[in-house]
Amino acid sequence: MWRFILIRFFKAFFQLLLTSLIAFLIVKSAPGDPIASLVGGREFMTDHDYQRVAHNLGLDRPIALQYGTWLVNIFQGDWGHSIRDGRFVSTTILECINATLILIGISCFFMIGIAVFVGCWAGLRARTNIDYIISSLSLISSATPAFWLGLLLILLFSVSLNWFPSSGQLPIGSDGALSDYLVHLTLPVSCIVLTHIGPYIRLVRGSVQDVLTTDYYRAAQARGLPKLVLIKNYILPNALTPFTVWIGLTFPLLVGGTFIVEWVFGWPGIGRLFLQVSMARDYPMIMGIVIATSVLVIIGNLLADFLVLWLNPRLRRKTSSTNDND
Amino acid sequence: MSNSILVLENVSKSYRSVGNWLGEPHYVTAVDNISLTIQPGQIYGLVGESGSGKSTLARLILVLEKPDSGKIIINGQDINAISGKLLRALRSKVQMIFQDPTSALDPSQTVEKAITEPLLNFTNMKHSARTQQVLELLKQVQLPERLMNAYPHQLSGGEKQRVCIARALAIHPKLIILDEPTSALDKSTQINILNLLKNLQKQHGLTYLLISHDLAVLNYICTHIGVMKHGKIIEEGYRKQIITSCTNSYTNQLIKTARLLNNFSLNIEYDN
Amino acid sequence: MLVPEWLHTFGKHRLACIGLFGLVVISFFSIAGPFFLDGNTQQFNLENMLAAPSNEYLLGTDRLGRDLLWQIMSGGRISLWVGLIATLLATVIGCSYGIISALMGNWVDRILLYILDIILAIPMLLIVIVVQALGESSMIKVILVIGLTSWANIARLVRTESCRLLQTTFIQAAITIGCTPFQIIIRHLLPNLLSPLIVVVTVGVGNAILLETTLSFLNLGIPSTSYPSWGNIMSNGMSALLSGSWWIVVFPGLMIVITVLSINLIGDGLRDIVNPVQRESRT
Ligand SMILES: Nc1ncnc2c1ncn2[C@@H]1O[C@H](COP(=O)(O)OP(=O)(O)OP(=O)(O)O)[C@@H](O)[C@H]1O
Ligand SMILES: [Mg+2]
Repeated sequence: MWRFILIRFFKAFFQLLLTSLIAFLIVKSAPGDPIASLVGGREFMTDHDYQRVAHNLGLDRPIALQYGTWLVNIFQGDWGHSIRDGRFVSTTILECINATLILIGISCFFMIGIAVFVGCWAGLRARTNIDYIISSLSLISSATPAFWLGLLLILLFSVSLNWFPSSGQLPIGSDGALSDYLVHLTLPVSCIVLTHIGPYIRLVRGSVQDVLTTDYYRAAQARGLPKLVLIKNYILPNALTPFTVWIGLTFPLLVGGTFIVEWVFGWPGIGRLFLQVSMARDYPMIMGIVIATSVLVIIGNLLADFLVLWLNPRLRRKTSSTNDND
Repeated sequence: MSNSILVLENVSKSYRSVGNWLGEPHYVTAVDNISLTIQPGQIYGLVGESGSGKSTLARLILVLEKPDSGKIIINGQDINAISGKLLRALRSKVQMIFQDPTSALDPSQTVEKAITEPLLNFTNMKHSARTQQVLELLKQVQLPERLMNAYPHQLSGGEKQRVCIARALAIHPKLIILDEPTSALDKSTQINILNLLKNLQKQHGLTYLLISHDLAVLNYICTHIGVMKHGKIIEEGYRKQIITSCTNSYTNQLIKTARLLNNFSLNIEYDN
Repeated sequence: MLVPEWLHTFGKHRLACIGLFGLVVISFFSIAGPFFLDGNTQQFNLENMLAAPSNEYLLGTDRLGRDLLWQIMSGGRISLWVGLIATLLATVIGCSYGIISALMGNWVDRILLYILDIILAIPMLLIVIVVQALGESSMIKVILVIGLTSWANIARLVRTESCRLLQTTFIQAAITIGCTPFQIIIRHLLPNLLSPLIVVVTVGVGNAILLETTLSFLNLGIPSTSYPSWGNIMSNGMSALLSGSWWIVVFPGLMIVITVLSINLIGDGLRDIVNPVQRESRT
């Protein structure tokens, strides 16, 4: 098992490395001359100046070396400055990431809870009207673009009914801010949950149905165990493992979806920041956010993997006793 | 020697089996230093317990795998010394009938496509000639023409095995290796297929290497029998000689078991 | 003979039929629709800016007084094509990657699989946004970017299935009857990959459409100056949203939901159909 954990960390490290490389290459191959753009155009500098600046910025060195330097800086916590306003990339990201974590955390909490509950419910009542309604709704959910649902929610609840504000929350920590914060969270969280929950409900429903047809479940049922015990001891544990695996696999999608929702609702997280700096072509910020997001996603994946290991004692023993040559 | 169709000289093959991650891998010797000669027109039966390396031997002869050591000579050519075009040309000389006809046929191919495929690979017949040939082959293996456009999952086990036989016959091979060709079939189909194989052998002057668990099957059809155990051939000879007067205790046991299971004595009077 | 059997089972799958019907209607609506409308309604018409749905303009007009119905119809054509072509590109890349990985086996396979795992964990939306934000956007670029970032799922499926297929006896049989590796891929591997592939490709088209509309909505996709697409119509309508012109945002989005839902229903139906066929043909 320790070997498994070690290998898993190794993989996480490679994931980070590859993402950073992709981000680096994309930004490097972006059109436009970064040196010339510093002074507003190539015609404003002599060839000598040009080479001097290039040398000072390290841009005349081989690309692999540039990447290496950049990576070392990242690891040392030197993430550079924003091109636009000169703010430190690292502090700006740290300021924004809290808001994103809160949004993702709360959304995940509700999504998992609702998906497990509703999925079980539909699975236990397969082929009834309730099941059909739930299944249809989850199909519609996965066909709905998050930004569109966001706009609809704003249109309905902010513009027409004026129940919830669409944006403009106070920062957390100030007086009366908590309730204000929660009110502002309602719409974005609903939007994320509603547009991402479909596949999860279907997955839980499917695995519950699978359990219902197994012999060991039928045997337990025949022994006359109460329904709640059956659900708690037989159905849930078996439905949870594929569910957790799936959450780990789709976590990158969830993060992407959150970014869009942040943009629509003006939520001050790194998603909105990312879209702003992308459109402004603020390279150091872009790269910083890509790295930060990758770390977030990779941590999420790691958590899901270890959760699967913890949920599944069989797997734990297997990975410790046999090799995984295959 | 020079006119033998298949010669194996000290052929060995071992597999790396599940070992520790860092520790020593350990090896299973599937085929252990086997030498064997088959003359044209023989039906050589190979019998042995499960895991004794019979299928591995067949795969080696078909160059689906390479031996660790030793030589395999087919029709005077060392098959591991050639590659590319020559090897492909040689493949038309040796064909194989697999144990499970269901998995040996591509589920996405119709019977006609399956039988045409070797013709496409080895001949440059015209389309109409190929169809003609397929019809002819179907007749030879006693399949009705209407099955031409059927998919494997629409056929019975016996029909599928007949398709496989027709496919192997299509390019006029000299040697056919049959790896338990009847063990997935019921008894009456088994007898039909064996009779068919026997007739085809006479008709086309084929040579068979027939692998089986079942001594009764070998006794019914073979001219020669070899007994394999733990990757070695421990006894070989004419069929009658093996059945009536074997020297090896393991062979004896096999014969006894076969007699018990078949409830009567093995008939040695088949006219092979 | 396999195809009619297939269609027959498909016909019995009610939801899949609804999906197919929906998709056919939407395709017809998008491709043939503009021919049935008065061409003048696509012109700027400043007297009819932001007109609400009425008899004259069934779905209302946009900021520049253009008929929204016409825009949605031609936008649908773009969104459908982009989704389809991008997914085809992803399928070609994914198939090649998966088949190469399975065919090479051993350490090449392991390394490729490892890379695939890593790629699957990258939040691709970020990469797509960065690429689109740097430099000019065009329809070709959108197609390329979507295609190049969404092949990993397909590659994984193809690799798993190819590995399974390569171990089957019928591939060994194909070698013994003298097929070259290329012939094995064409005649045996691809036809047998087809049925599981169809399902992921169908769902892939839906996801590609969602991605394209999201990008276009963020002004990072199809430029609204080139072609209308469902995404950029909504993007243009954003500013009018708070003043109550809901139709510009609501109707294109509704079209997206119906389209993707139809595609997913078809995918679901195919999944149910493909599995029994496979099971039947294996036993
Ligand atoms: N690809 C492989 N990798 C590892 N070991 C293998 C492989 N193929 C065969 N073996 C081993 O080689 C030995 C011989 O296998 P083989 O299939 O030749 O036996 P067999 O005589 O055909 O058995 P059966 O009568 O059951 O078909 C077995 O111990 C098997 O475990
Ligand atoms: Mg065998």
